Amino acid sequence: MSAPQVLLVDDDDASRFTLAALLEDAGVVVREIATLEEARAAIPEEPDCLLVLADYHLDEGLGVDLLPLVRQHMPRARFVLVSGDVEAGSLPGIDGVLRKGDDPRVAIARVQAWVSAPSDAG
Amino acid sequence: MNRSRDPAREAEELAVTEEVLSLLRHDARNKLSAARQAGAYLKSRTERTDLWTSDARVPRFFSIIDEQLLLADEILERHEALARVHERSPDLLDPARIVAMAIAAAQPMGEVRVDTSVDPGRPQADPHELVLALRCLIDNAVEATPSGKRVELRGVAGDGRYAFLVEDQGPGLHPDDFHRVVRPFVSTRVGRRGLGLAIARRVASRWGGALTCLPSESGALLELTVGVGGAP
Repeated sequence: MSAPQVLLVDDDDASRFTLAALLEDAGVVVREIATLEEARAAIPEEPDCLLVLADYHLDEGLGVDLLPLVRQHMPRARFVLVSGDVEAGSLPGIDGVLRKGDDPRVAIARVQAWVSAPSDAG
Repeated sequence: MNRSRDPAREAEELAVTEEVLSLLRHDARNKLSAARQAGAYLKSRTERTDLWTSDARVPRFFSIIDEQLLLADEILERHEALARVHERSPDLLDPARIVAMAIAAAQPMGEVRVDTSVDPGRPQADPHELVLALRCLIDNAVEATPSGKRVELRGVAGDGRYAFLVEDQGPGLHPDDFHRVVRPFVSTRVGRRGLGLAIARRVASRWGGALTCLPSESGALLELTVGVGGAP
């Protein structure tokens, strides 16, 4: 089994499951994560991951809370918030926002672009 | 009836409206995006089968599903626009005056004392929003503090930002719990709406800052920052 290119963190099961299905159908290897706690455990296990997609509002906190851990353990990864909240776009340190409700084809194309051109910012 | 305009009350009403709409938008968008994503997946699979060409209603139905979900999302956008009708005015503010206004607007404090120490500085924000955000933090701190104890409110000028620190002498707040209680409609106290911290966080974020929970040996220590220049 290939190492995941994308870590998808979202506590909404339907939202996470359907986005993961679309990404996998487009050839992207995804690891699904449902909670912040699971994400904190998974991030150090996936140093080669290229993209973390984290829901902005999670039950136990904010997806952006994962950013320091991602920067520490995933040197090549971009950190992108998935949100329907326009305020998420103004948060410092993130690499982008996927807006919930946007055309899924656009979301897939953006993820493919991020994965094919990994961050070298470290 | 001729009623005089009360900007502080308007800021509070708008802040509550924003929190309610934000939560509704978030929950509704989760459902809409899941449905759109499920539809897109099924469409891509169905396009590869005979069903796609043998029944002209099938592609049309997929279009209808997507169009209707898109329209529902646009309705959420229109509500978002409604919440932004209020015009915010970014001003360079006198932090001592903002602190005094927030204390004056706070709930009765009983036997709890609020001590202030405010550095000079020029935080930039909408004055009514910033007063409201600080008032929410003061109300929370006073409520958590036993009678006879004190709340400390400090204003600290920093590099590119201005910080308001509110420290109480209550039972304290662990950073992990802070992430939970800062969400709208979550409160550790019975009978409370649980909007104060959510409002303060939104105001801080809008004006280039953040609301964070810092370690404290006294009780809970919250830091609200805003920028000191430039547009929000």
